[in-house]
Amino acid sequence: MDTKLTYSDSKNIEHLFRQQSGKMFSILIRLFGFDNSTLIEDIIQETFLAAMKTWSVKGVPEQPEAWLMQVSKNKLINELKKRSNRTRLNEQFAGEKLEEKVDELFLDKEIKDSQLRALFACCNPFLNKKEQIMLTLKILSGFNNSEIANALLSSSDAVKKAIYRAKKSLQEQDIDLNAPFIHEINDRIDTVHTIIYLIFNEGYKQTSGNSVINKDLCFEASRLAVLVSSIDGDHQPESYALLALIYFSMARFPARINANGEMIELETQDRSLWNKEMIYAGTSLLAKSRNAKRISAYHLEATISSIHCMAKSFETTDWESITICYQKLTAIDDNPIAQINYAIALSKWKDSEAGLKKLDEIEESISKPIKHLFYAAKASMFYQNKTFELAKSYYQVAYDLSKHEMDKKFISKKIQMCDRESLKMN
Amino acid sequence: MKKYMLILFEEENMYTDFSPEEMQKEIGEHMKWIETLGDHYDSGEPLMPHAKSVKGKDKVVTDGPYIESKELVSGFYILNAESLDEATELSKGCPVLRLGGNIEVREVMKM
Repeated sequence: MDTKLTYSDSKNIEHLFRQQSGKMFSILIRLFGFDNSTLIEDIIQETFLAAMKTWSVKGVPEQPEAWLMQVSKNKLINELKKRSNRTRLNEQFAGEKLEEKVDELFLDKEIKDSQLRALFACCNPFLNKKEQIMLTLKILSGFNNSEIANALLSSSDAVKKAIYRAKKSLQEQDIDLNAPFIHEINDRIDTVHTIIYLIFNEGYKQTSGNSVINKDLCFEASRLAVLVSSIDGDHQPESYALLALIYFSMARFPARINANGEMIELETQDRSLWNKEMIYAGTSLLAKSRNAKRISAYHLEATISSIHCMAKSFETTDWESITICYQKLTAIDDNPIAQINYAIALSKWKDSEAGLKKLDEIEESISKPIKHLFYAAKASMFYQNKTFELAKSYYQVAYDLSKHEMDKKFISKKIQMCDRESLKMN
Repeated sequence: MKKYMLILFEEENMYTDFSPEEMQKEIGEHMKWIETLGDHYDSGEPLMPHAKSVKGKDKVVTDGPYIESKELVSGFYILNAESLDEATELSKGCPVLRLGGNIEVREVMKM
């Protein structure tokens, strides 16, 4: 345990503590239930504290994950011995074979099973979407309250309250995390997919302006999607599609923000910065996802994303296929953002007239929080047909409606571009 | 080269609110510092927080660390340096200072 590694080696274990926290939480919650989450948090915290103190001085051990597992196992055994005369756990962990039984819990297969059980428990339809997301980030991803607050643009206090409420409702339902959960998988897989998709979306949209947090959320979403796509069944192709979508989007991360932290739109991104390995992984997942009984929104979004990733340039993108995918997407899921993107794709494939016509059709369905996207899309179409004065006035509307700094910066650049183009024409 | 002991003092609950990710980052900070120390680094040991103290002729045993403050000795490093001043300068890079911890630098006596 005392082999010293260098700092650069320790980089290879990025997010190890987070992953480990999710594993430990899942194992322990299966044993102790939601009503003992403070105890569980203490055991986890003590394990990491021990690791931090030792590794800081003696270096990272050769097998960091095994080291952490061993420490948490020992802490768990101590805890179980302390509680040996209390009921609930008694039958399961009575007698001499305590160590062996604990070892079994820490087998890879069991850990994975525990994580899935915990994830499906967090995605309980009894909780609202926000509570499901927060609880998932807390339990499966080892985020603390302030990290969740940062990620979801909320306050630590609000997160604390929401998680407390969520745990309480789960306690009241008295969920048995050891019961067979095959039926639950089928009933709840859609919710689990949605929650992973929402976590990913929180990371992918750039409202927080903090690219570290954004990346962390996308990374967590991909990790959960990998976990879920390991479950066999009819829903598996859909899980593959979701994971493919996440990979395709993450592949473009390195090109999305410039050195000043400003957003770069797809059109002007340096495509050589896209992560080819992730695109490759996404492509093979997308191929595996084709074996599905129904075409889900994830299939369509992943396909759109893959077309962008494959295109050599913005101009040579297969806009026709993208338009068709958006058309199908709006048919399954009446999502106004998909409608706006449909109009944009149409304007690239056909012309700005077609796009503008589509926008007119959907104008009434656009709710206030996304109005700025609608007007920015409209402005871009006027820009495309070189009506720069009109483009500028719609960008101005979009600017006034947008709430986030990054969006405002992005739109004000567009306004400047309109001014420049107008000058050229005069 | 002489040897110097860096005695680290930290508040007991300095890391209570740290998330797993933050703790892992903290290790990275220490590793970075140790890497910059190069040959100046000799060894180190972390200490468990709980303690007993034994006092005086009567050998009175009490629970808890000896010093009467919220801070306790959380570990130590041994560094190689030419002088107390150099060792002190080197200790300034230690990440515990950033979090409000303190360091005492002492020369190891040679027999």
